[in-house]
Amino acid sequence: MTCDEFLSRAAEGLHPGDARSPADRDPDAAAHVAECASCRAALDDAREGLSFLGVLAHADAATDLPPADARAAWREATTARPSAARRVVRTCARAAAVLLAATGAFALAGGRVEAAEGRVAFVLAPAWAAAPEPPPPADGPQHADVVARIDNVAQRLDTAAQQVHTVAERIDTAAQRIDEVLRAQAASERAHTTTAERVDAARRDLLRGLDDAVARLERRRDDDAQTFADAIVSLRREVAALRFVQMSMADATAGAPSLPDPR
Amino acid sequence: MEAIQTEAAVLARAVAGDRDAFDAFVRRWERPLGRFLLRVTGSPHAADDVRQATFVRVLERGSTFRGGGVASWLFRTAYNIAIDHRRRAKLRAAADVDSVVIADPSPCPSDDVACADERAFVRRALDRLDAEERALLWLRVAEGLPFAAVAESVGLPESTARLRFVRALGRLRREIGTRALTDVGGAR
Repeated sequence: MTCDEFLSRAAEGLHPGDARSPADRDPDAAAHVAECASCRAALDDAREGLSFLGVLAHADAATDLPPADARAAWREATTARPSAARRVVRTCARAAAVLLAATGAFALAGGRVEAAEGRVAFVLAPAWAAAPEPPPPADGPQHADVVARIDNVAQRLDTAAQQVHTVAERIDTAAQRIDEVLRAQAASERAHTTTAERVDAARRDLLRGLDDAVARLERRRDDDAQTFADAIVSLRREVAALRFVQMSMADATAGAPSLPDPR
Repeated sequence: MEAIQTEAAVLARAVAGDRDAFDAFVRRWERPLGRFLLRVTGSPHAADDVRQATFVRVLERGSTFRGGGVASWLFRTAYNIAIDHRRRAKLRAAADVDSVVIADPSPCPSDDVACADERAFVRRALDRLDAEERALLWLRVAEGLPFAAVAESVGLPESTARLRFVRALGRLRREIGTRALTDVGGAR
């Protein structure tokens, strides 16, 4: 067993939930780790790293980002998808480009054949000259005419191919620009929606806080008013009691006989 | 097995245009995906962005799902987007994820300062690992995925994923040791 094989097999046991040693799990691995110091060290390091990571993973299991915006994702994905018509145009443009490339390849191949024919003709020219002249065709197009016509057609094909290629490139560029604009628009809408939602949420929180504060103040005002009224009633009672005592004392003073002078 | 089939069925319905199924899919996966991306990207904002992009990608390319585990397919999609996101961020040089400090999201009780310190220490060491190493460690240890799913999620053969997992644990241990020595030296 090589060291890499051993470590690869030992990886299975490196999990916070698995307390077994490699020897318990795999006798071959135990034999290897007994004689290989570097693997032993690597495994010890890995176990220590795992113990640190286990603590962090457990703690971070409760970590959450804010909820994902499923609505924005849906809108972005469905908006950014090219329309069926645009996909058809793109496909046609690509097919035309492929066709033109194939045509160009054929034209090049034709040129090579012509060049080869030229070389053969050059080599065979003396023999050709020595051979008896065949009688000219009685009627119909001459060879030069046919070549000229073929050249003409080839040039027109080339021009048409260039034009179609240019148009295909323009269509692709336009489609890319439309894609970019749509994507930017979707991103902008998403940002706008998110911001608007946040502002709304903040406004709702603020209003709720204000409502709570007003309710608390009103409760305190009511409580204070009640306490004040109770205090006033209590004071009035005390005043009335004092007046009664005062009047009683005045009456007693007026009706009582004067005390003799001790001197 | 039944749960896996149900998850795949929910995904299929969502991709076919069932809005409720998509909402259910998002509710099911938003938390594990968020925690995973938090560890891979190293930034809550980046994790939020990547998670949102992942759900968009699910709708756009969900038809490429060919059965098997939804978890590994989804984590793989998220991981690829996170890697692209990091690459673009580096190109823009707008955000250096190594320098982003994540606040401790699960603070210890106020009197247990040592506990919070230790976790912050481990978190910083973890953030110094490669994104692939962090993904391997998190999916295996925190999410408890089998190695086959972990390997599929990060696009590696299973044996390679196992080996790199062990090596990543060792590297985490050494990062913690190195940082501890550095901090002690700095404190002196």
